[in-house]
Amino acid sequence: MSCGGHGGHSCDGGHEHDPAELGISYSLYKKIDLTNVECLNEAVENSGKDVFKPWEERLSTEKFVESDVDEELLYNIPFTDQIKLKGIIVIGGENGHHPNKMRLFKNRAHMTFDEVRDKADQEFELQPDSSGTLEYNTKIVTFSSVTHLTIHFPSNFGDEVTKVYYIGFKGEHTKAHRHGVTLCNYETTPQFSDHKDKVLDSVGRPVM
Amino acid sequence: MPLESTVICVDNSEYMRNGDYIPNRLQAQQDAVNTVCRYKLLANPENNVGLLTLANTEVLATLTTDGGKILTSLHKVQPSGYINLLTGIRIAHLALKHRQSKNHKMRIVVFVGSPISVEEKEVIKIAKRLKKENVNVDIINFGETDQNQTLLEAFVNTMNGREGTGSHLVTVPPSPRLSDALLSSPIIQGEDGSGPTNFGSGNGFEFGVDPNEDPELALALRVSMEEQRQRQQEEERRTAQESAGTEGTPAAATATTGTAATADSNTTAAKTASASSPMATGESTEAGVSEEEMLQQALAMSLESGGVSGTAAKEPANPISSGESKDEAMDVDKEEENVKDKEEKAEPDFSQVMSDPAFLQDVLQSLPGVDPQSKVVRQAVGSLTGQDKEKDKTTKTDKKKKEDKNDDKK
Repeated sequence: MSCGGHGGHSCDGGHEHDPAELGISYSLYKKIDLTNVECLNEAVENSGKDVFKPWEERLSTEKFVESDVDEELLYNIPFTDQIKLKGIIVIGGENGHHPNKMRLFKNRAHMTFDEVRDKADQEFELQPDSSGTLEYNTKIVTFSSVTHLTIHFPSNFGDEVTKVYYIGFKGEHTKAHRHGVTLCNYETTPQFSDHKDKVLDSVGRPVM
Repeated sequence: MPLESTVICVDNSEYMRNGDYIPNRLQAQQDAVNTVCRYKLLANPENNVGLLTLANTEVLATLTTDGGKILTSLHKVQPSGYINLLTGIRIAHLALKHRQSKNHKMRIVVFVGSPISVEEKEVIKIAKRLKKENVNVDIINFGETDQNQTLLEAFVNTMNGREGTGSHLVTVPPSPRLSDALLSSPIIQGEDGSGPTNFGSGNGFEFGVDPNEDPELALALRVSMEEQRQRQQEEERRTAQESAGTEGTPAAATATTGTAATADSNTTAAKTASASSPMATGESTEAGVSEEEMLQQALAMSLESGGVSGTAAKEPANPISSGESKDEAMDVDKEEENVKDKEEKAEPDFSQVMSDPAFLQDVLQSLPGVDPQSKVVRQAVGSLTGQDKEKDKTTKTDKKKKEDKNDDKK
């Protein structure tokens, strides 16, 4: 599931490892609805959003999220468009702070730690990655139309606190189809002739 | 104002029969719950509030925007059994998890008035779980405050974590007004002291003065209002005894040492207007005794004089001047006329809040604090009279003119 190395080294799957090109493909961060991102068990409020950085800033250690009470972290991530998710990169903290497992749930809004005990749509075993070189490929079929993604980090490599510096998404986006009113008539002035059959059906009722 | 769903947990154990809070813990708690509920619902029209009992854990009201529902279920609460704090909190959390709008923040407000017999370990565990799920908890510690203090402090500190101020602990010692203590606490004030903008009926806080901005003034207003009410009581009794004609004036004089500007001219005017319902008994000026009578009067008054009170309101200096001159043993008759004259006069006062009968009821309920404050009254009042001396002079001259006119009419 993960390919190592970068810069002119291609794997079976034919992934590009040229950082610049990766950067272009890891641009789904723009489609994240940041104001509505929820991170449960974060130590500092609203620090969860800080990990969705542009590709160029992925190595910056200034902003990160730490878990609070225990080592679990739960992300509820809504997107502004429909996403076809293909890959995820996670840069975690040093040594024991790095999460060792990642579980994904698609299109389940506002999940809590109880609900997350359910079977995940996909699970990954993570390896420590402090440079963002390890890509985890998602099942394309499962994650072909995602509007909301839940990421659960249940455990880490031994520390009390889990630390994550960067989470990047690779894939495509399409405008989400909003099922609104598709057939409607607009009238500037109502014409009786247009509503003949319906008007006479009304029933009058005295108010007082 | 953020969207919030709140579950209020009420302590309905046997310890609530205790009378160290007036009239008893259960009633004081009900008042306080009502206050919190109203504030939450006013803060944002989409806020939800639910109700739950801690002893015999039971959800009395599911999350609703209707304050009336909460109130009716609240009144059915009877003290029985002992509280089970942890179960109650867990059930409150469950109720919150099933709230309709997941956009609402979750909050639990717990009233604890009986000893908690749980290990600190368990308490911390629950606090951690709630923290993980992003729930805020406010605890009001009253009744058995000393016993529970350490446990509850540990709970709230765990909830808040390293930084974070979402959860609060308010400890209220035995006092007449549990809900008053809450009004000034972070539970209602908000963490930056912003406070409810339109709370307490009418224009802002009681008396239209924000206790944050001007606490002395607010205190003085309240105190002088209670003083004025007492004075009016004396007046009534004096009228009743007028025919006997004995200690009318001295009794009045004792009760009225320098009343400052009152926010209570409304009650004053309306009461004298309806002086036809004489206050019985020439008893002492005990606030406890007069409270019931005044309450009845207020009820009668608010029923009949919704309009009268509106016009009669807004007199700052008139009561002052009349009060001060009373010290010099003015005639009761003239007093009454002066008071009635106030109705004709339309001097703008501190606010139009006074014209609200519902507000008067609220105000009356705060009476129990009068006696201990009688000295405070005088002090506070003394400070205010300095401010109002100018007003006094002008109104005094006006008064005299009117008195003359009235004498002529007689």
